Amino acid sequence: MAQTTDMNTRTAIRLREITAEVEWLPELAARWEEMPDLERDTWYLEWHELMARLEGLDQVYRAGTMTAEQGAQYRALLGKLKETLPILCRLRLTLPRVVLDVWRSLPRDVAPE
Amino acid sequence: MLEAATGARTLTPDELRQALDQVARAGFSPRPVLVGGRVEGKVWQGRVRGRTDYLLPAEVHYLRHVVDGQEWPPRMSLDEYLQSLREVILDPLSGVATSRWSRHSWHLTVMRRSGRLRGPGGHEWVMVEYGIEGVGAGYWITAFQPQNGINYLTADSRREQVRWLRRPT
Repeated sequence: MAQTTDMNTRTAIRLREITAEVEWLPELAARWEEMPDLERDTWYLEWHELMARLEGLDQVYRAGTMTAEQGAQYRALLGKLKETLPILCRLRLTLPRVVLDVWRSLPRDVAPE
Repeated sequence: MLEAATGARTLTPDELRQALDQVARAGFSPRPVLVGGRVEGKVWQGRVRGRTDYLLPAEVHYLRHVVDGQEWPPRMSLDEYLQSLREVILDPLSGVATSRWSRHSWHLTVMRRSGRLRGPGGHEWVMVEYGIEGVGAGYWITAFQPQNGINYLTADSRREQVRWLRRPT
């Protein structure tokens, strides 16, 4: 029980932090060229770590251990990430290493009609 | 440190200790930076912060990784967070690695098991990255608890020539 609570807490934190930075990406891109090199390098390292954490989230999702609400948040996050791919390519930030079109990678009986 | 990073020479244990003393004293850059998404809505120094606010890098890292990410234990202060990073840098059990980063800089990375520093959103290792040469030289560049532990050092195509000056115990 305690382990499940810990997992839910960690999942909620990871979902929130990655979503917050994905939603910030368009503004970051608009300011990228005027940023000092150190600030850009720090963003790169932080973003790279967030993409590692996304892989952790993906494992939790595929193991079926997210709550229904978290699962919906995760799918929404993947949709947002897909929309921001051109920005990630332009800024040369690490691309997500998970399948963004999540329904395509799930068994037919799990995918929605 | 640069000579050690390039492999030109090996530091003695005493030289490594002196180098780490210097790294521990360095801290983050004093130049304010954009806070970004994770800090939005956080109350800091009496103000609710927006994404486009500027704060010191130490404050931004604290708000991202301690307050938002809960990688460190709850209610830890900014000073306690910074002290915990110094403690990791100076701990003889910590691993110390150098690497060439993005072809323009040399970094020194200190990694230790998080232990009592691990919060509810934390991971098994704590990492502090310091600039030896190039961009960010003389400062801590970032510090957090990486999802993939010591594989953090090898999982980035921008990082080359990783060299352990001391492996973690």
